[in-house]
Amino acid sequence: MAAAAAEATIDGGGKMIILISADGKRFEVTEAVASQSQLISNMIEDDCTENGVRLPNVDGDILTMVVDYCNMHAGDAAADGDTTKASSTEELKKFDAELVQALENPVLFKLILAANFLNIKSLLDMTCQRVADMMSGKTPEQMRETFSIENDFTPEEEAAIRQENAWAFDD
Amino acid sequence: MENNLIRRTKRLKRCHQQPFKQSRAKVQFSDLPEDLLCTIFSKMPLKDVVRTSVLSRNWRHMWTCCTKLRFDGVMVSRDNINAILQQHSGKIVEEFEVKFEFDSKLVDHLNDFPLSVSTMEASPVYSIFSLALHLWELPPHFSGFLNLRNLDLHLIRSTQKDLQDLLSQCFNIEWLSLVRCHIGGEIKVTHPLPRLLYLRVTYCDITKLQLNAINLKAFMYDGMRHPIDLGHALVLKEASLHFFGSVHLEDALTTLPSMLPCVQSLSLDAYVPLTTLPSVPPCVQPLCLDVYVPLEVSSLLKNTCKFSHLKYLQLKLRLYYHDLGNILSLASFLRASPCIEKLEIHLIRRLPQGEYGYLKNMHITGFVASTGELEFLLHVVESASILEVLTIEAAGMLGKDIDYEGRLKVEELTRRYLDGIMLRNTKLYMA
Repeated sequence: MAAAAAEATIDGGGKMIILISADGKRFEVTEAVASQSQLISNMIEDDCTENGVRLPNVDGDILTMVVDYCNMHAGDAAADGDTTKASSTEELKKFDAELVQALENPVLFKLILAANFLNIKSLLDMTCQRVADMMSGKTPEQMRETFSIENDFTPEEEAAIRQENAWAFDD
Repeated sequence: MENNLIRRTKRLKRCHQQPFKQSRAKVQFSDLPEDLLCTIFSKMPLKDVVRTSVLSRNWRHMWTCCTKLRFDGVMVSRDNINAILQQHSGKIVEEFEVKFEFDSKLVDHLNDFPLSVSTMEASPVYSIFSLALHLWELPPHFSGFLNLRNLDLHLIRSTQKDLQDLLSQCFNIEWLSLVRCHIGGEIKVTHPLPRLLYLRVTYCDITKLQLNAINLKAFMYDGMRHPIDLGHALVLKEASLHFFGSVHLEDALTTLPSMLPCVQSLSLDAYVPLTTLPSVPPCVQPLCLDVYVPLEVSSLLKNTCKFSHLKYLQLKLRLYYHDLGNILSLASFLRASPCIEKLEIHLIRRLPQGEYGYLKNMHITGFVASTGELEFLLHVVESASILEVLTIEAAGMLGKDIDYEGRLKVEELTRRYLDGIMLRNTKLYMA
């Protein structure tokens, strides 16, 4: 039965695949959407998605985001030269920005790990860029605050390290 | 059968992937695997990357996994860069780049800038912008920059020897670009560079270029016409040459085929005097409008060098008026290219621009929009910086009255020709 559901097809669409998160949530997506993940694309190629794809290291809430992202970006690779694309490029940018902007740090890092595991290059790039942006242009104090890092250096040790690359610390 | 087995193993591996540890704990920055840290660091300015060394003990050396060392701005000093290289030593460098905006204050401490050998050994891509290059003492038994694939030098000031030493060590280089480098002598690398595929030399003050690059595929050159020897570049298919100054037709047809024996696509942009009077310097020639030079067909026939593989030839030729009668001599390019399939000729001919700083009003009658008239018009419009009124009265060929349709044609042609060249303040009246 499960296999039948996983192989079900929607009107005019491709084959459907079931993704199963660590906490047992099921997501039904088309092959085209799922194959943005290189990992799943390889599995599709090897015909081993018929019983659903278990992703034991991706939580349901993270997988929800990933699936949303993949649904939004499914047209990306396929529809080049499409006239509706110009407007949707704007929409995509907005969607991407909103997706990463609102995230708490631990969630953002989990999303990075999921993108890395599932091998979705564009999502990985975007999320890593977000972290890089959060880090750039900040003083060490601000960096510690942003990422909840506890300073375990003595003041003398810290001064010595600053001295080593003094140019990086003069503002 | 065997194929099936392989496929089966592959499938099993993918379908029964072991889940890696499932953690409910909060994920921190430092929990990310090293390749992801590296990706993130590589997206940050180097200054901020280095700053992370002070965050905590855990972070002390984390930044050194960053594989892109891009120095730019104020941090470009020998001490800063060497300090970073020392801390980074032993790690992988994918990209090393030094870049700064030209600022005379910086020139002093850049004049003597030894670059670390260890970095260049590790790095497959190496680009330097705006630096005075001074080569280091190479250690004894130095085996060369075996990993260096791309070398991109911009605005480098170097001695002939330093640059030659550097290039002689890059055995595996595939891509080499020298832009606006001040060498002041010849670039001569006798050591073979068998992997060099792409070479660009642009606006460098060199007197000679001699390399031994037998596998070179593409070559781009912009600069003075100096001797160029690429070794036996028998697979060099694509070349683009932009010479400043003049290149004599005979010179082009004898030296270029031997320099590029197998070229299939050639673009040549140069001032090519079509006459065979080498005694008159090119800067004087444009003024000798009345010199009649007979075309020497015999010299065309004598030419024996050939572009035996050339299929596509693009010529951008800057011509002067006295050469126009000799256009036929361009046929010698065709004679030298028996396999030619596509020929593109862009003739850029013009009088040297004059300065008619007082000319405000020009009135032409009997205008038929012939090529010569249009070129004259263009010349005046380009050279008269305060031209206010331009009146053109059309006439039929032979000076007869012109019908309405003919007048429209003349007007359309004239406007098209002057489009974008005429000043906004100039009023054009066509009648």
